[in-house]
Amino acid sequence: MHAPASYSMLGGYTVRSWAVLLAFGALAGAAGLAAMYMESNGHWVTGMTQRVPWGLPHVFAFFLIVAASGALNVASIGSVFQKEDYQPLGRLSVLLAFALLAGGLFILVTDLGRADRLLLTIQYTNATSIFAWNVFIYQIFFALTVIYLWVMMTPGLSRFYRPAATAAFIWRLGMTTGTGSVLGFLVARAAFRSAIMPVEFVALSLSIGTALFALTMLAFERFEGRPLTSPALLNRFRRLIGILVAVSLYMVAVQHLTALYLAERRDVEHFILFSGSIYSVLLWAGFVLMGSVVPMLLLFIPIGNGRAWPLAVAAALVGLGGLALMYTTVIGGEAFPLELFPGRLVSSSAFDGVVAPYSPSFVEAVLGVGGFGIAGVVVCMGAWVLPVLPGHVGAGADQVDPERQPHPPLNNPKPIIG
Amino acid sequence: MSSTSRRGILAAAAGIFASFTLAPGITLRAFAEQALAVPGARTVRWGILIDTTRCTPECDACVTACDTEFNLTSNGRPRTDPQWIRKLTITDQASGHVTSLPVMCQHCSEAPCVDVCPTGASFQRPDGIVLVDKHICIGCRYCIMACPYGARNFVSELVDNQRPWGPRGKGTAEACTMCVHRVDAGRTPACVEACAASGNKAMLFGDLNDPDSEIAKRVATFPSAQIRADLRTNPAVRYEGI
Amino acid sequence: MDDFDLATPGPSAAPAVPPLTDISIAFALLTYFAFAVLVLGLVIQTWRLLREIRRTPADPGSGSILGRLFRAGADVVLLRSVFFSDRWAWIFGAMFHFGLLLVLIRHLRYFIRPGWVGPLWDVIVLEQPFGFYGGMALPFGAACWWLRQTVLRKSRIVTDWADHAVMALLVAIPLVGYASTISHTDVVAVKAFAIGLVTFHWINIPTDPLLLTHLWLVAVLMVVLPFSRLLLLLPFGNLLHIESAPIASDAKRRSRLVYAFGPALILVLLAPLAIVGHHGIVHQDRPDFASLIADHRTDDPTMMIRNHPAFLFSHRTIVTHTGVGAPIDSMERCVTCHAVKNAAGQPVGFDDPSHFCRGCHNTAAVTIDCFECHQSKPAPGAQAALDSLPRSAIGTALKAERVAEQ
Repeated sequence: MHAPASYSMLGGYTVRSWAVLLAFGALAGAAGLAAMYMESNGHWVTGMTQRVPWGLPHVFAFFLIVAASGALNVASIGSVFQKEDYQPLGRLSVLLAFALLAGGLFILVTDLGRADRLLLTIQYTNATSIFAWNVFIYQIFFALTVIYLWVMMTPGLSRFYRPAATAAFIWRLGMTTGTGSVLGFLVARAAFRSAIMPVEFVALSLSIGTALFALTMLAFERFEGRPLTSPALLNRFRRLIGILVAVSLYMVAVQHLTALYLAERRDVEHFILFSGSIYSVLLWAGFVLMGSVVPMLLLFIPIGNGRAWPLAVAAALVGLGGLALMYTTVIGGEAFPLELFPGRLVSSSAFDGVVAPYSPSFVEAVLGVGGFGIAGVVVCMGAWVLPVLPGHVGAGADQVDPERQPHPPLNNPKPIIG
Repeated sequence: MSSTSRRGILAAAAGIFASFTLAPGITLRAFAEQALAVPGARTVRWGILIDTTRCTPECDACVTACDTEFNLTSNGRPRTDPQWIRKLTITDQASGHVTSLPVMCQHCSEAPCVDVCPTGASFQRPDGIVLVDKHICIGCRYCIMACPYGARNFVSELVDNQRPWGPRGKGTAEACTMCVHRVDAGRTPACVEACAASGNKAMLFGDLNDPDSEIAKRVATFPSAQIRADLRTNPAVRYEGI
Repeated sequence: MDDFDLATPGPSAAPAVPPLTDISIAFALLTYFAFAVLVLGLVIQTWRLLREIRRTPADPGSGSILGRLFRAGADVVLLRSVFFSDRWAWIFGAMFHFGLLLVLIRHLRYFIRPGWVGPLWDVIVLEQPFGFYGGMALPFGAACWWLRQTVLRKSRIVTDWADHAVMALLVAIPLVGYASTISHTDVVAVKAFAIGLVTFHWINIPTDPLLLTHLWLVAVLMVVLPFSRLLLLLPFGNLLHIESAPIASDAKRRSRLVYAFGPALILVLLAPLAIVGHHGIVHQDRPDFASLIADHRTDDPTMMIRNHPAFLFSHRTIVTHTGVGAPIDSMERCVTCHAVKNAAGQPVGFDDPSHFCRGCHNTAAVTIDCFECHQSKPAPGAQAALDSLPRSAIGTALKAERVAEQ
C-alpha cells in the first residue's frame, strides 16, 4: 500500500474562480427564469406538443443522470476494483456524480407541469411505476454519495471505505437500470419497448460519465496550473475511455441490428437510421462518427506525445455524441407515429400517421443547459470548501501539505462553546 | 437501553413516519374501493362498441359533441390543442379499402398509463373507467408517453372556461372520461348520444359485464376487435369492421 | 341569523368590534415589552462589542480590508470559519440558522398587509411552503446542537443552566408552532391580532392554548436572548479577530446578571398565564361534517376558517375515485352558493380579488390551486335558481335534496 495521497481544496478565492462560479451560476439562474416562464404561461411556449411531450430538457436530463452514475466510475475503479493509481481521483469523482445528478434532476423537476406538487411523489407512490421507484433511488444515491465522500475524507472511518464504495457502485448500477427502464418499459412506442434499453444505458453511463470526469479533471489541471495525474495514468485513462466508447457503440449497434431484423420494427428503424431526418443525422454523424469513431481514433492512436489535448478533445466529443444519441433515442422515438393499425395508412386531425413535427424552443435549450450550470456550481463550490483535488499523484513526488492554501491562512479561532 | 427496545422504538418511529406520509394515499384509496364493493354484486364494466361500417369520414358529430361538453376550445395551435376524441381515416394499402372511426381513451383494464403514473393519479375505477385524479397529477407526462392510442393530452395553457362538471387545468394530464359525470347520473356519453342523433348510430354504450345489455349481446353475436389487441391492454372500446 | 350573508369574507369584515379581553391586553403589553428588551439589548451588546474591537489590535496576518470584510460576511451568512474548524457544529448550526431564516420570512405574513409592500408580498406568498418544510430544520438543528452540547464532555463543562434554558426555548418554540399549525389555529384571527399590534389598533387575541404558549415562549426568548452567551458565538469573534478569552470572562458576569434579574422577569412573564387560568381557554371540537354538508352556516365563522380544508378534502378523494356522492358534494355547489357578484350583477371568477375564497386566502398568504382546474364561477342556470330562494331557505332546500337522493 502506497503512502496515502494528500488532498487540497481549490487555491483561494481568486477573480478567476469567482468568474467561473458566476458563469455557471448565470446559466443556472437563466434556467430558473426559463422554468418560471414555462410554468406561468404553460408548456405551449415550448416546442413540446401532444405527440412529443418530452423534449430537449428531457434529453439533457437523461444525459446528466446517466453521466452522473458513470462519473462515479473512477471512484469505483479505485476502491471496488482496487486500482490504487485511481484512488486519489476518487473524491472528485464522487463530487462530480453528485453534481451531475443534481443538475439532471433540477431540469426534470422544473419541467413538471405542476412542480409545486413534487412532495406528492413521496406521499402517493405507485409501485408499478418505475418513475416512482426512481424518485427514491435518486434520493438514496444522493445520500450514498454524501456518505462515500464523508468516509473518504475522514481518516477515522477508513474501515467503512470498502462497504461505502461497494454500496455506491451497486446502487449506481441500479439507478442507471431504472433510468433506462423509463424508456424500456414503454409498450406504446416501438422505438423504446426493449429489454436492451437499461443495459444500453449502463454502457452509455460508463463511457459518457468517465469522459465527463476526464474533462472535469483536465479543467481543474488547467485552472490550478499543476498536473493532477501522472502521464502513465493519463494514458491509462485514454485506453479506458476508448474501450468504454467501443462497448457503448456495440450496445447501440446490437439494439438497432436486432430491431432491424424484426419485421414489426422495420418501419421505425428505417426512420431512425435511414430517413435522412435530423434523428438519423444526429445518430450517424453525431453519435457514431463524432461521438465514437473519431474519439476512438484519438484515444487509441498514440498521438499528442503524452499531452492532455487528445484526451480532452476525445472526451468532449464523446459527451456531445452522447447528447446526440439521447436526442435521437428520446425524441426520435416520440416523433415516429404511434402504430394503431400497423401496416395501414392512417391520418387524422391529431398528427396520426405522420412524423410528429418538433422544433426545440429557446426556453427549452436554456433550461437544458442550466442543468450543466447547476452541476458546475456544485462542483466549484465543492472544490472550494472540501479537499477533493489530489495533492500530487505518483511515487516519489513531494507531498503537498493537506489543506495548504497559497493565500493567507483563514482564521480558525477556537469555538467558545463545543 | 437494550438492542431489542431500541429496535422497537426505531420500528415504531418508522411506522409512524410511514403512516404520516404514505397513509393519505393508501388508506383513502382502499376506502374508496370498499365504498363500491357491494357483496355478491357483479362488477360493472362500462364499454363502447363502434360499428365502423356506419361511420363516415365526413361526420365528426362525436368530436363536436365532446368539445362542446367540456369546452375544449382550440387556441389556434394544433400541436398543443386538446383532443379527447379524434376521427381516424385508415387506408389498407394492399386493398385500397378506407375505414373511418373515432378513437378516444380506450379505458383499458391493463392500462399502461395507470402502470406508469408515479403518483397513482392515473387510475382505473372499479367500473372500468380510467381517469386522471388531477388533485395529485404532477404533470410529468409519462402517461402521455405510455399510451399506445395517443389518447392522453397535456394541458399546455391556462384554462378558465372549464365546465363545472369537467375540471381541467394547466399542467395536468387529461383524457376522455367516458363522460363519467353523465354515466354516474344514469345517462350515456356525449359522443354516443351525438352519434345517435346524427342518424349514423355507429356507437353503442353499455355494461359489457351485463349479459342482458344490448352491447354485451351484440359483442357476443357479431365479431368485434380491439385496437392493438396484441398489446394485451384489453380496452373497453371495441370496434366492428376493423 | 336569517339573513346571514354567505359571501362575507370573514371576521375581518365583522361589523361590531367586541370589547378587549384581559388576556388580549396582557399579551399585547407582553409583546411590546419583550420586543423592546430584545432590540435595546441587541443594540447595547453590539455597542459593547464594537468598543472591545477598538481596544484590541488587529491580527497582522489577516489580509486586505476587502478580504476581511468578505470573510466576516461569509462568517455571518454561511458560518464559514465554523465549517473549517468544527464540521458537526457547522452542520447543526447552519441547519438551525437557515431554518430560522425561512421561518422568520414565513412569519412576515402576520405582520404585513398585502398592500403595504406591493410585489414583495408575492415573494412572501411564494416562500410559504419553503418556510413550512424548510423550517423543520430549525428545531432539528437546535435539538441536535443541544444534544451535542450535552453529550460531548468538552462542551458540557462550559455550558451552564442559562445556555441550556435558551437552547430549550429554541427547541420548544418551533415545536409548539408546528403543533399550532397541525391543530389549525385560525390564522386569519392571529393575523388580525398581529396587525392590531403593528398599527396600534388592538383587537382580541384568539384564545387558542397552543398559540398562547407559542407567543409566551417567544416573549421569554426575546427577553433572555440579549443576556445570553449564545449571542456571542464564533462569527463575531472571527469578524473582530478577538480571542475567546475576554468574551468568556464577560459571559460569567452576564450569567450573574441573569441570576439577579431572572426571578423578576419570570414573575412578570407568568402573569398572562394567571389571567388565562382565571378566564379559561376555549376549545374547538372538530365538527361532524356529514351533518353539516347541506347546511354549514354557523354563528362562528372561526369553525369554517379552521376546518374548511378538512371539510373539502373529506369528500374529494371518495367522489373522484368512486363517483359516489350527491351533487352537493361537488365543488360546483360550493362555488354556486358562495358566488360574489360584481357591480354588473355577474358572479366573479377567481381572478377577481373580491372572489369569496380570495378574501381570506390573500390576507393569510395561503395559495390554493383548486381553481386551476375547477370552475370558479357558477353555471349560469344554477346561480339563477338559487337567486330565486330567500337565503334562509337555501339550507333547508339543499338538505331536502340530499334526503331525496338517498
